[in-house]
Amino acid sequence: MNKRGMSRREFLRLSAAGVTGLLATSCVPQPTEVAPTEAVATVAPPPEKVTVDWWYTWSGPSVVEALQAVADRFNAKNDTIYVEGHSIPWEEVEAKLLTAIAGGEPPDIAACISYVEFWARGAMQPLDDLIAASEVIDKDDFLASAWQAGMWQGKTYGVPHVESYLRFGLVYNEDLVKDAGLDPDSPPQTWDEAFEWHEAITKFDAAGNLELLGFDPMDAMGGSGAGIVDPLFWPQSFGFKWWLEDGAEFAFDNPLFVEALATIKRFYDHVGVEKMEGFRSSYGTWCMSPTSGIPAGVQAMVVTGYWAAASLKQVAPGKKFRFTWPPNSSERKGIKFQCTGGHYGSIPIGGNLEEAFKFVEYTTTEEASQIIFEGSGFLGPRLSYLEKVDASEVPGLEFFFNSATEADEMNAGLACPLSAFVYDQWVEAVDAVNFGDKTPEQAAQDIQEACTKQLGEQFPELT
Amino acid sequence: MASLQIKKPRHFGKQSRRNFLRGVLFASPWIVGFLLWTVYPLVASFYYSFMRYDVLRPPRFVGMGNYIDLFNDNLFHKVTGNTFYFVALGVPLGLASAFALAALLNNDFKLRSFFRAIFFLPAVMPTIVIAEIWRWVYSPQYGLINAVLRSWGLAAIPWLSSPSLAKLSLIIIHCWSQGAAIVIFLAALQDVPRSLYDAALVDGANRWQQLWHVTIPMCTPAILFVGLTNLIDVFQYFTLGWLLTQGGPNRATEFYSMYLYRNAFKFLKMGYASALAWVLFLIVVSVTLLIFRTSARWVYYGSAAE
Repeated sequence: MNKRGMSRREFLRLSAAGVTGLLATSCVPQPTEVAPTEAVATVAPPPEKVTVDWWYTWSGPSVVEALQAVADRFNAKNDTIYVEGHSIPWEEVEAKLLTAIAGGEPPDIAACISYVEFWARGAMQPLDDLIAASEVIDKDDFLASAWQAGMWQGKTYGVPHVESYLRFGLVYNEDLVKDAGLDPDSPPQTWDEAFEWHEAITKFDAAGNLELLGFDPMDAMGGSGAGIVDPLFWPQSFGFKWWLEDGAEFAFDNPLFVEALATIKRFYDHVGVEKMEGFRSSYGTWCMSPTSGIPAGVQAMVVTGYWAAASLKQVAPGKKFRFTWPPNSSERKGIKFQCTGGHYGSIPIGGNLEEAFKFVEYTTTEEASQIIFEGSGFLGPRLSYLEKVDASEVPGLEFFFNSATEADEMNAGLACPLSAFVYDQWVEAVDAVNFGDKTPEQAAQDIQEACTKQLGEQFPELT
Repeated sequence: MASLQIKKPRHFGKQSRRNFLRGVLFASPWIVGFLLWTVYPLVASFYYSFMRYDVLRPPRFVGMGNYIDLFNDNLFHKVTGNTFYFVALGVPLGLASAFALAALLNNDFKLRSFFRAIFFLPAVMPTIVIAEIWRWVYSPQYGLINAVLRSWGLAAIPWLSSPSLAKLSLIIIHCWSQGAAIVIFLAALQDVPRSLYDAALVDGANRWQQLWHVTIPMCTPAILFVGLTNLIDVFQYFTLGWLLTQGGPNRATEFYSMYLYRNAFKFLKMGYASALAWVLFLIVVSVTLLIFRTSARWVYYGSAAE
């Protein structure tokens, strides 16, 4: 007992009060890791409005600002709904979404995710009734293949959203091509021709270090960076589908896939697989950053989508780029193939369905589309808006606009419920072939077996 | 080591019960947290390890199916091999480098405090910063090391893009970031009685003999502690590997925890990931127990001997 006057009982009472107070403060909800980015609105939503949490993985200051501007415009015009946008890093979005759904606190809109994975598992709400009743959305006003890819087993789970336009173009640096003695007006149409360009452009120093790269087959839409969830490009270039939706079966064990793997290996063998990997990890992929290969002027060619036109204008303003049809296998020489994008506004079960749908509708309007295009260069597949866009303002965009009508084949992403697993197996297959661990035939067989087994385990009802 | 003995009361009377309940009350925040965020997830993951479970749909009982799949999974063997490689090489090298640096920093020289601070710095740096620094250091195109090599007309070293070098490159970073271990070893070194060195000197021991026969034996408790904590940490190696290599090139740096994470959050195979987690737990516990069992032969507790 304290001789100065505080009894043990008083001390215990005081301590209990202190511990209770600490417990109370620790029970206050902590900010989640889903912290808004720098462009989020700073004004708290009025209490009478329903808050719609909009999760997406598009990043970069200009994109996030443009998307926030869309949310702000919607909020200003709407008395009952308040949209809060959150940019989640692409690598984390599935884990966060899974946790949020499991915890009973899903966002109201999820975009830029492995869509079919969540649609096929019943985590998202079908939107057909709302679409049918909508006065804003007319599905005939969208590119058909883009609309189609928002469906799973006959139901629509996603409305094309924010960025969903065309995916394939061969982009090349005009000056690097000329410096190599090639004619920039005669771009390659087959992979043999593309390899000749690559060989002519690629430079090594006296010690064999890579200085200038012709073509990286796994850059951007070629299939190794963030945002790619399946081997979308290469199967289409060789004219086959790796996933047969009708029969719910995989089709990797075919000679065309073997040929595609062998073609990729050809580029790697010329450069050296370790040098190619080191080059890509040093400079990064895609064309969004001034330090990645194409904007930095250390790489000449890449297969990428329409967004590259606007982003290259911004990050590599002094360089001249040409946009053309991507190469095909030799048997398909001259076939023009294109693919619509695959980003959708999907509404998780447990989200505020009607309010969220109102915002998804709004993002397809001309007003929202204009804000997004001006701020980020992104385009959706809404035909009535696309007719009004002046493609001449952005060099290269005209190729994509023309390709929409000139393409012999207009494809879309395949609705496979195991897209993340397939992507992992695809990268493993490419690596194993490039590093000499497997032949293309072995790799094709292994990916077929692995994916088929996985499908049987996770979706026995489909098989 | 002194042991604490708690005498049980002969009978649990009213006063004793009250005291006990008061103790539990004060410890209750920790107990509640432990039950909610450690015990419950442990039990839940054990339960789900016998299920096909993707979080979004109800779990489906498959018995030992996940464990059987695991041992038939070639990639499981690969990632386990990668992890054991890292443990077998990384932990001893990390210990040795930390001990050597601590021994150097234990000497009296100018700017000693400054050097102690900079060697400790990696321990307080965020992992993302460490990753970006080393990405630059290792870059074959413009990195610190390869820029020098290229300027000398030599071929660049593919530190992170070669399957045979990638793990070693990560081990180098691991050794570089042993700041916390250095501090622990420094404290242990300063605890070695001066009289032992004097006695060794009288017996004619040179500096290496003093290190081997005096310094290291007296620091073995600290070596055991740092070694065990390092071991447990390295078995769960994830963040730096994920940031720098994503498991590549060609799965050379795909470690156990990365594979577990992929299965749980990318492939939505939470049941399989739970099975992986339990197998990892058993591996770590087995290795830890083995080290504890053998520690009596090589760890010297000086006060116990007295």
